[in-house]
Amino acid sequence: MASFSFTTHATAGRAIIRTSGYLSRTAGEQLEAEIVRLLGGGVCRFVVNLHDTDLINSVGISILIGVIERVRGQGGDLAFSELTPVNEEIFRIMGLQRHARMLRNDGEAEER
Amino acid sequence: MNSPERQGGAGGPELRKLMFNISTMEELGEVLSSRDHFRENLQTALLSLMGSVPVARGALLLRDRESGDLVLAAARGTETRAGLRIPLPAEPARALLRRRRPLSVNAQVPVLTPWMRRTSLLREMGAELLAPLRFKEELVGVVVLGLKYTGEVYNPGDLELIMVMANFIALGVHNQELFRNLETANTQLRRKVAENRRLYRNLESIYGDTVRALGAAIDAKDPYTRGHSDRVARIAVAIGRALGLPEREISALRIASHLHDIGKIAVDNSILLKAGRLDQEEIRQIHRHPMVSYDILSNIAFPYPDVALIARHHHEWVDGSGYPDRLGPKDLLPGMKIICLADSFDAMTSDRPYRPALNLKEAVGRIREGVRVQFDPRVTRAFLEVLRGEVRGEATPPQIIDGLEKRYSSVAMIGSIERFLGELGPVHP
Repeated sequence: MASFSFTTHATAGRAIIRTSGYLSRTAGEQLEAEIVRLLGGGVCRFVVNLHDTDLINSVGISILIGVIERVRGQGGDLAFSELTPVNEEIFRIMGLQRHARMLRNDGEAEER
Repeated sequence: MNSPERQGGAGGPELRKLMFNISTMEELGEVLSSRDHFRENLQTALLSLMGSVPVARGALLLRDRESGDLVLAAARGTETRAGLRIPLPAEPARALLRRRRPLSVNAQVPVLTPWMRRTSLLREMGAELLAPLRFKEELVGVVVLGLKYTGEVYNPGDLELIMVMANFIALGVHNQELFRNLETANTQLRRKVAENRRLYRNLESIYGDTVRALGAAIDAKDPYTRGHSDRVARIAVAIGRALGLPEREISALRIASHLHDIGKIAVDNSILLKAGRLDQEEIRQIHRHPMVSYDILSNIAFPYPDVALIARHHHEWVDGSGYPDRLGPKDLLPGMKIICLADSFDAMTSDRPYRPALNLKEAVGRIREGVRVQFDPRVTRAFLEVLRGEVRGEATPPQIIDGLEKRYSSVAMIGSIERFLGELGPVHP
C-alpha cells in the first residue's frame, strides 16, 4: 500500500492540496493539520485533489467529514477533484457531495 | 491507473457499500486486537464507525466499573472535554443492556427516556442515537452518534451496521480489560517473586551463618583447629570456582567444608590433643570421624547436593589408600577431591600438638609429593593457579594465603609454583 504524502499550492486565499497514497487515520490527520494551518493563514477556499489516492477507508471518510465541517464552520469552501470512480461512488454513498463539491479537475473550481 | 477496481466495476452502490463495510470491519478487528495504545485505538474505532454510517459527530463513552458513570473515551466533531462523565444509574444501565439495537434519543422508552431527557450533555453533544456497547451480560459503554451526514434518517441497514460494529468495539474493550488484569496480576506476581528472592537471600545468609557457627563450634573443641573449618571452606570454594563448578556444587562444598569435622565430637579430646604418637585404637577412633560426620549430616535435608557424602570422603586419597572407604579416583566426586586438598593444606599450615605449622613453601612441597597419591592433579593445578594469583597480589581478598605468615619471597614462591605447574603438565578432567 502506497504511503501517504501531499503537496500544497496556496495562492491568494486559495489552496490546492494534491494527495498521494492510502488515506487512513494518520494520513487523514496530516491532511487535516495542513488545512487547519492554511485556515489559520487566511486560506478559505480549498481543492483536495485525490487523483493519486486510490483507497480511502472509513476512518479517512470520517476525517474528511471533519475537515469539511471545519472549513465550512469558518465560512470557507472545500471541493474534491479528480476522484477515482470508486472514491467518487463512496463519497456519493456517504453523502459527502452534499457538503463538498466534486470536481473533474482543479481548474473547475475557478470556472464556477 | 485504469484497473477495474479504480474504474469502479459493476455492482452498484449497494455492493460498493457492502464491500466498504467488509473492509472497515476487517480494519476495525485489527485495531481492536492490538494491546498497545488502547485510547488511540478507541478513537480509531469511533472514527471507523462514524465513517461507515457516516456521521459528523460522535463520541465513545466507557462505563466506569466503580461509579457506573459513562466516561468519555473518544470523540469527534463535538465540543467535549476530557474526562467528561455522564451519570448512568443502575436502572437505565440495565435497560440499555437489554437493548439489542441502537436507540434514538427521541424514542419513548420506559426508564431510558427520562434518563436521556435528564442528561443535557447528550443534547449538547448533538446526540441522535445511542448504541450500547455490550459484552455478554455487561454494559461496557455507549457510542453516541449525531445526525447522518447524508441528511437522511437512520435506516435498518445503518442500525444493523452500527450494532455489529458496537459489539465488535465492546469485545475489544472487554479484551483490553482482560489484558490489563493479566498485566496487573503479572506485576503483582513479579513483585512477589522479587520479595521471595529477597527472603530467600536472607534465609540463605542466616543459613550460611548458622553453618559457619556450627563449624566454629566444632573447631573450638580443639584449640589447634580453631578457624580450621572456615579456612577450609574459603580454600575449597576458591578451588571450586577456579574449576568452574556450578553454583549449587560450590554451595554444597562450602557447607561440607564447614561441617566436615563434625564427627570429631565423637572423638575423645585426649586423642585429639595428644602430642605424642597415637596407638592403633586411637588411630581407629580418629579414622571414624568422617563416618560420624556422615551419619550426622545425612539426617539433614541440605538444599545442595552430596553435602554428607563430601564430608564422609574428605580423607579419601586418589590412589585409593585413604579412609574410611578407600575410594578410587573414579568414585570420588570433585567436591571430595577439593576438600581433601583444602583440608590437608590448612592442616599443614597450622600448628599441631605434635609439630609446628609448615611455611607456604614447605606446604606446597608436601602437596607436590602427594600429587596422584593423595591429591588429584586437576584439583592441584586449580589450587596452584589460585595460589599463584594470590602470591602475585591479584586476588582480593586472598583465600589461601590469608592469615599465613609471610615467610617467603613472592618471586621465589611464584617460580616454585610455576615449576610445579610445569611438572603437572596438561591435566585432563
